[in-house]
Amino acid sequence: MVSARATRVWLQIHTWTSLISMVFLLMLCLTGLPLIFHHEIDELLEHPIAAPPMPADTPALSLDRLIESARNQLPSQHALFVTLKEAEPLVTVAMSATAIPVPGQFHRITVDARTGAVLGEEPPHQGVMDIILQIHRDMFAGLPGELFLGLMGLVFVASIVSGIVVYWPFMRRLEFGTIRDRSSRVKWLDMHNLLGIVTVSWALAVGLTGTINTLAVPLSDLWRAQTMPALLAPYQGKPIAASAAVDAAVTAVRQAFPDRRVSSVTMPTTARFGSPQHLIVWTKGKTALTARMFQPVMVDAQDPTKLTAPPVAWYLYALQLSRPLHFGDYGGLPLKIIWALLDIITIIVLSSGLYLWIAKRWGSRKKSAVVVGSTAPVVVSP
Amino acid sequence: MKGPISSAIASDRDERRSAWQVFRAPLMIGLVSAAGLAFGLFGDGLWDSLCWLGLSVPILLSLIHGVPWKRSAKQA
Repeated sequence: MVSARATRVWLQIHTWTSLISMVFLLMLCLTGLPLIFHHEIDELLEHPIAAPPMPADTPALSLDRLIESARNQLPSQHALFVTLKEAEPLVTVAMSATAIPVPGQFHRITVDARTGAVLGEEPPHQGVMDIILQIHRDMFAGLPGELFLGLMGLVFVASIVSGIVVYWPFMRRLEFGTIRDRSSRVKWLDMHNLLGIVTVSWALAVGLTGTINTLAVPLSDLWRAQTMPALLAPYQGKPIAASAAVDAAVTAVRQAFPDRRVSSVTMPTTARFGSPQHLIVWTKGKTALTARMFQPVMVDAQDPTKLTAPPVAWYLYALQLSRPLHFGDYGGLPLKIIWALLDIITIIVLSSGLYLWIAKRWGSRKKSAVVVGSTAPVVVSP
Repeated sequence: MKGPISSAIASDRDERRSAWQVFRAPLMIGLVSAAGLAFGLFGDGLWDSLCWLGLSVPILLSLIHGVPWKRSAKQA
């Protein structure tokens, strides 16, 4: 039994946690809506490079030969990553003019895996969708902005939990789903209660995973700091390996981990995301659940039989699992449409909540003014 | 507390519902949509269909109760 006093406290918690996070959540919901269809919109706006039709069993060339093609295209540049496309026989080589890359200064050369022909360069990503993504992720404020939005995610969760608590006193005399027509305020109160309570699971999942996603950079840094120094200590200060047999490394990893798929290779580098003496072969699982679990394997650039697979920390698994649950990209187009509809319902819950708060303050003040006179009292709501 | 919101909370002792009665439906909806969220991660095909089914429940209930067709039909 929740006492009237406890109800008032919970209602205050619900009001203020909602008001604090309101502006940011409306921004997140509005920018999130087009981002759900990021992939589809990108395909519509940009024309992705496609592999020319060839017989399905045409063998692929060695990765080293494909990287050579990209290097010939931009001879003065450093090859940093090689990404193997899953759906098409294409390989993308990320090239940078500097050994330590500057964000956004990549050239991404797409090579046909069967002929070694350079098919083109993917345009650098700075379209409308990327601007929307950046607003959604950090509001152009970098890591502090990202962490701040993560905090707002937690405030949102507090607002949902307190909302569940006050749902009871509001609905004690009403059947589930009742929308009363008595007045605009009562109608929107009922609507707020209905739409809010039916979307609780989804809103909690997206809110919590959103907060976890804001920790991506610090968590990856933490893992790197815990794992890499010990592994890299013997190679510290050594120059970048002159040559690296990428194909031999990938073959060795495929043999050692037959249940995993190679998704990309980080070339030897002095930058902090790699090793000067190793190729880092990134693998992921083959099932729907493990396809989002990335596991790096370090391969000695001189001797591809020397493999090291650093254990992935539990918090990186949590991070990797949080991504699909936030983006809604794990169940085809129908799930994206469902995600968008739930997002729109959340926008209605947020704005009706704001309306109820404004209507109560404004309504009470008007009524008090009639009773007390022109001295506008400080309304202690509710 | 003032206005219609407080009248929705207070008084009327005749038809009070218990926490179980109030939360029964939301709990079921919450479990079904949480199951939908999880099923989609397990695999493609049937799992995806179960995911769509589970997460459609909150949307369908919003439409059924939130859109005023029932009330206008009653008044007519």
